[in-house]
Amino acid sequence: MTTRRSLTKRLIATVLLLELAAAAILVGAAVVHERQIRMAALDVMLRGRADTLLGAVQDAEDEADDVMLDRTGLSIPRDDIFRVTDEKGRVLGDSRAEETAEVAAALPSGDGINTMKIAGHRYRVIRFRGVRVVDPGRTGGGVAHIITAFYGLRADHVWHEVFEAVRFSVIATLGLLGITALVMVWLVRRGLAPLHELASHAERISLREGRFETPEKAKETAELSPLAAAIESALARLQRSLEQQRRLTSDAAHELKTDLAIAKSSIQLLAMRTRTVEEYQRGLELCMDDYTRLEKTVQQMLTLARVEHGDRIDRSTPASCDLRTCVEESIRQSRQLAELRQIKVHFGQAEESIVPAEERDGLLLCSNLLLNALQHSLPQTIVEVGIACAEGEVLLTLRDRGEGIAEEDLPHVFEPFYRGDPSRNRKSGGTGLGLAICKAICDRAGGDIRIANRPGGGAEAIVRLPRSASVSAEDSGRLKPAVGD
Amino acid sequence: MRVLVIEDEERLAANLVAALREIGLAVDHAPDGIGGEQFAHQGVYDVIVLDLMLPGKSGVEVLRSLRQAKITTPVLILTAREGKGSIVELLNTGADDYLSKPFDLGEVLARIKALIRRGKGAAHPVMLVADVEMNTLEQTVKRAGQTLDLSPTEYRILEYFMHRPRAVVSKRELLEHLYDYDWEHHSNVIEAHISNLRRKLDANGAEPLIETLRHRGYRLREEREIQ
Repeated sequence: MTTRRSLTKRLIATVLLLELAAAAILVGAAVVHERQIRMAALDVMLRGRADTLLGAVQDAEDEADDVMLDRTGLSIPRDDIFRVTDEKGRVLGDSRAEETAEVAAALPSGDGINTMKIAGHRYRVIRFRGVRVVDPGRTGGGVAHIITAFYGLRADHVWHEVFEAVRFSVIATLGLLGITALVMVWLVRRGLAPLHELASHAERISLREGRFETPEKAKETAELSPLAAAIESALARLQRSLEQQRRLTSDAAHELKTDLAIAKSSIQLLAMRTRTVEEYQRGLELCMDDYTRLEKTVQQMLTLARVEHGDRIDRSTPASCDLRTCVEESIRQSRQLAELRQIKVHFGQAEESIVPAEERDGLLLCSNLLLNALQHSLPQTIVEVGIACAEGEVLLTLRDRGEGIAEEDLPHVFEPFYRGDPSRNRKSGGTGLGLAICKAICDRAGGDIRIANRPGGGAEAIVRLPRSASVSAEDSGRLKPAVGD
Repeated sequence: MRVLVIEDEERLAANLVAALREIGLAVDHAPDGIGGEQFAHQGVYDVIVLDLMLPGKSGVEVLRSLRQAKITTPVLILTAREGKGSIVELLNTGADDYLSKPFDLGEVLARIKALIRRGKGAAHPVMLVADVEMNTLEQTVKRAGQTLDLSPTEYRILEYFMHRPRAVVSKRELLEHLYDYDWEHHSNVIEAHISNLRRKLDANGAEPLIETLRHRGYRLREEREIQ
């Protein structure tokens, strides 16, 4: 099973990560800032100490008019390091000889403050120069001594203090982060509640009832309303098709039961008493007719089922047939009926029209439409059949002169067992499936069929089917009317 | 007894009508709801066989209009519909019985006969009036234990009287209930049949059973009046 990605978790993780990054930047900035301030304070102290040290350089009161470091009154913390030298390189005073020598060697020449590591400790060291004049009141201006010195303060505690100061904000930030995470989990859960509600409603959808009420919250949520609408409309479509199936089944059952009732009652009527041979013969003929009808209904139902839901495995080798030969064949088959009803069938010249349908389906389509036209034509009229080929499609038209179709029935003529005028339906010998089969054949071939009334009476059936490639069909570039005149 | 068959399926109707006529009933047939309703509203039928899916007007609508017009003729519904719901609705609308297609013809006939009997207040197929015993199943009549040989029409006339003992039955009523529209009927035909029936009933010098009430009709006398 593939692991499912949780939108909630991802959302929360993203926000927390962003928050964490922001907090880190903030803390970093605070550390830098704090350090800057502390360092500045340290430097001020360093300079103060250095000044005091310089102030302690006194006249040595000797012959050479040298200077000396007067340590009385000079209190220097134990950790500090310093060294004072005069221009002759004489060390006037230092803190710890070894360390100071090391510092003196490592310290870059020139005045200024540097940071350096001495004996495992970080120091802030200032190097400075001063002039001390011995006996300035004497003629000649006395003796000037250039004092070079450095003074170092331990800086380890600065970092410590910086971290001490920032620690509070770090803890506070982390705490806040935790609280935000909890609040966010709650908020996101709450925010996604309409989605969960929608899901639980969708869960409860029952096809039998077919009702789906979008929860109010989902309706009010901009992101969810399209989803809810999609669910609703999908359900409605499903419902419609289910309803259609249900009606088809019930209509089929009704049709079969009626046919069965007729056949059964015919036999039972015959068996009610002893009859003459002639009566039996007549009764058997009627029974035979009734069973033929029943058989035809079943046959048509099976045909419809085959065309509508038949397996489509033979898609790799697409079925094809010539619609023109189908029309010719169906005209041949219905000649008797046409003669009986005194109706002429005109079929104009047509070229080969290969359509993607099985031959039996093509024939079924043509003969169903032709029989329909013949049955609804007035005597001594003409049924016009035409095939026109256009770029990529074949148009089959059948026009009759008859009573046409009632306007209110037009949208339903392709529905199985639709009884426009129920009293007429069975008398005309139709099972009410002919046109439904035609439509299913057209749908399967990727075409369509429509039926309309003609001005001046009668109906016109127009079948549009995609044209399959054929060896002799390369010259069909434009629409060629194939109906005579 | 006269039956109205409202059924749009021609072959089925033809079979029903033929079967009903074979058991000695007068039958009219209406192929659609509107015509059927008009027939039924005349109130001359002893039972109505009603299909549900009808052109013009559905069976349920016909039934409802009949019951609204206070026509209490028993109605047998023929339906190809499934489901208990519609059956309950039908019975509540005023149907007396129903049969699902495909039905058994014998069952239809039996139910129609039962509905006629019950419509006349007789629950049992064997009826007794005075010393006359009529078995509607075997269509035999006995008077004082003696089997009578009646013609189909005579039997039907007597059956009608048996259902309505002591009531005055007019010639018009007899005509309405014993003949359908396919018959040519004249009132003197009835008189001839009644005269024959009387002759056969009173053959052994028994008390005359059917009396004539001038300008009003006939009446079947009950036992008490005879003795």
